[in-house]
Formats: sequence, C-alpha cells, structure tokens
Amino acid sequence: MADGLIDEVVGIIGSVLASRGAGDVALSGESGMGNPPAWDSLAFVEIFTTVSEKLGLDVSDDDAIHFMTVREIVEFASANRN
Amino acid sequence: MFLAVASTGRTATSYIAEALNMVSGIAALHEGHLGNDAGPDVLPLVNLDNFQCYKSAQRAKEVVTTKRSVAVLDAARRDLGVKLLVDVAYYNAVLLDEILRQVPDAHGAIIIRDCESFVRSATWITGTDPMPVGWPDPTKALDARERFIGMGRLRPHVGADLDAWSTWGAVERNIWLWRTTNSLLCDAWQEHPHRVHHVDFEDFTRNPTSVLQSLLTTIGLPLDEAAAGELERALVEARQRQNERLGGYQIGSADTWTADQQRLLTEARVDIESRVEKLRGRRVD
Repeated sequence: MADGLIDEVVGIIGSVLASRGAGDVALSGESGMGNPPAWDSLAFVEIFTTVSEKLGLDVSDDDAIHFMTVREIVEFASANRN
Repeated sequence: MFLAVASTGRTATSYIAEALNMVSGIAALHEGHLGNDAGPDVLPLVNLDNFQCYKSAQRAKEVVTTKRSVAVLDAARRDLGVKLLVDVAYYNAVLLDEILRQVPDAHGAIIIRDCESFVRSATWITGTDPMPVGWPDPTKALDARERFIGMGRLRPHVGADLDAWSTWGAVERNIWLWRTTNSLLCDAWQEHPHRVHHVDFEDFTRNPTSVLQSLLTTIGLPLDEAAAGELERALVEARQRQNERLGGYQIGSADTWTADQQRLLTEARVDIESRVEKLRGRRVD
C-alpha cells in the first residue's frame, strides 16, 4: 500500500476531526470508524465527502462501505483515483 | 444464547432494547449499542453493510463470519456476564438467515407492523428526523446522521423497482422498504420455522410484558418471578424515556394517498399478510 497515500488520507481525516473539535487525534493506517472515538457516524459523512473531494474520487453513497478504515479508503482510492 | 430481533424499524425497537437490558441475566443492544444508542458499542457496527448484504448473500455470509460469529457473540456475552445477548436492529433483516446458519444457539424474533402505519410513521417530509428509519422525501435536505443511516438503507438494485425508484416519493419508497424488509423476515421464518418467532407489533403495543415474556419462554429462557417483575418495571421506565412522536405523522392516512400509492400499499399488504398467515399455519392450502 502506498505510504504517501496513507499519509495524505490520514492528514485529511485528521483535519476533518480537528475541525469538528476533536483536537490533534493520532491516526494510522489501522484507524477507522470508532477508533478513534471522534470518528463517529456524524464525522463519517464529512470524512467520506471531504476525502472524496480532496482525492478527486467520483463516489456515490454505495461506495461509503469502503470508507470505514484508513486502509480501506487507501485501497479504494488506489483503485479508483483518476 | 443470542437473540436477533429484526424489523423494519418504527416497531418500538429502542424501547424493547432498553427494557430488556434492565432485566437480570440479559444484555440487550440497540443496533450494537448497549441499552440504547448512547450506550457503548458491544458488537461491531454493520450499519453500512446492510445494503451490501441485501445485494449479496455472499457478503451477508462474510459479515456474519467476521462480525456476528459464535466467537464474537460469545465474547460479548461473557464480557457482559449474561446468559442472553439480544441485538435489536433493522439490519438483522438481511443477516438473520445467515446468523441462524452460523450460530447454532441463536434465535430470531421478527416484529411486523401494519404497512400503512409504518409508512406514516417513517415518512419524514420536513425537519430533522430524530430516528431516520424510512426514506425521506427526495427533495429534503439531510443532516449528517440522516445521511449516514440512509447510506446503508435498503433500496432496489435491479429490476423494475430500480427503474421506478427515481420517480418515487417517500411514500412509495417506504412501502417498498416495508415490503422488502418483511419479505426478508418471512424468508428467514420459512427457512428456520422453529428458531424464528413472529411478534405482531399491534399485539406488542397492547401487552408488551406478556409478549416479551412469551418470547423468552419460547426460546427456552423463561423469566422467574423476580425477573418478570424487573421486566414489568423496566418497560414502564423505558416507556417514559422513549422517543415519542409528539408532533404526530407528517402525512395523512392512506385514503388521502394517490391511486398509485394505494395500489402499491394494497399489493404490499396482500403479499406480506398472506405470507405471515401461511407461516403462522392459519391457512390450509
């Protein structure tokens, strides 16, 4: 898995969580919904939207299942990025 | 033992979970959360898997293998120190058959509500839906929670219903949701007649204590006198906390619906009610 893309996704998610008042949250490739706790169902929608926009991914709600963890997002982005 | 309670939603599910969770020896979850939605996660979240599992039986098998296996359920039950673990959740409609295949001591309870009252309760035209079970009006702006839950909600993925979906409003979509969910419940009931137990929602609302006691007896865990008293008190307490729809329904009764909506309602009712009647053994073919 591309480390650069992991860092990019982690950075975007960290920014989303920080903007929601979570502060500086430690994230890694193993992070996902519920871990850290700030990545809850409400943050999920914003992460889904923001990561898709920033990475130029053309997604529908059907793709949300691929946004549960950093690793899954990176795998999905690797396969679908233009 | 594990009991998966499944329904369309809008069937007092959070009330049931909260009340059962107050009874000794039982831990009851609402969509994986202990007691109610504010409780800690006990089982892995499967909300977004719901639609994927509806589309693919293989996916349902994988989700149960990884997130509702004997090992996962036994660990949760042991951690909570109870005999019975209950999860009351809409997503059990797509998982029930597979749970019963993979978890030998599991049972299912399926709660079926009348279609018209479900659609009226679940159809939210304006404002934030506090318990977004049904499809909203397609033009309604959604908040993050409504959108998140909608991402996993069942919708057509093939066939004529998929073609019609974009032309349907909330009423038509929620009739479809009711029919599809209850059809899945009937499929599981038909496949596992001795492990799936039907709960009529109207019966439950008239006498919740008796219905839940009867359900627990049927699955082999009858309540003793003390626990029965706990259940009675728990139901009263949970009732006081449940989300009542104080503003009433946002749409009128079926006699105010369009002819097409009434036709869809009738078709859905006839389909599901005939299956329920047959599965309850009332009909002789």
